[in-house]
Amino acid sequence: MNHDDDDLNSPEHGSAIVQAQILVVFFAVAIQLWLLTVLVEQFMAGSVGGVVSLAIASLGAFIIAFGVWHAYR
Amino acid sequence: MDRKPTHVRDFPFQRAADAFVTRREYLKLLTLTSAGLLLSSLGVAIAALLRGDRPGEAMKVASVQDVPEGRSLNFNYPGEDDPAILVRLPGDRFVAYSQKCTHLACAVYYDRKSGRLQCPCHDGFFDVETGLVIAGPPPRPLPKIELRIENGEIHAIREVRT
Repeated sequence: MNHDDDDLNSPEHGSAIVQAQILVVFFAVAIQLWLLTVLVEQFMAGSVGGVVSLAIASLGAFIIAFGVWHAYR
Repeated sequence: MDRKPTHVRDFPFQRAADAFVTRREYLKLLTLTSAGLLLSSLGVAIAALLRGDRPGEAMKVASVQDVPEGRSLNFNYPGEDDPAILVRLPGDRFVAYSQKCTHLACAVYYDRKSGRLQCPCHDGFFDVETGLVIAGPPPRPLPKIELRIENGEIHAIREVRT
């Protein structure tokens, strides 16, 4: 095993990292979809309670997705 | 002689000429989707906050003698564009609800025979006493309008959503 195998930019590592990035961002998007559904439900019901925390949660999911994408562009 | 399968002959696929989406491009697309969902969530949250709870102000709806027992009367509350329905139940009891079905906002009406509020669009039924869903696709009870009766006049006080 030479030192180059530990290089995160090697094709093997790069492929695994992109795969992991896709997985994490995909989960973040899935959670955001669920949050949006709950938000619309609250809106349709005319309820205000909880909409701010739901929007903040969506922001958190986006920050995670953006961070993961940006980290190994 | 062409020995290719029929589906290949009918739908030729030039792999080299096709444009593939790389995983990195797909990742970028997912991140953009995340941004879009965030914007949508913020938009809905802001719209909900701007609209807020609209309990409405006290407003005269009708006189008691305007609504015979077992009959209903349509009015608008809390806003001019918010249809509502007033029903006189046996025993001189009055109930009022938003007329917008909680399914897809069709106007509900009072069916005297069954004693239920009915949405004609998709056969949603509500209990006239409580506004709760009895059957059909509506996901929530009808918003109730609290009433006050003074000197033979019926006043709507506020709208209560559950």
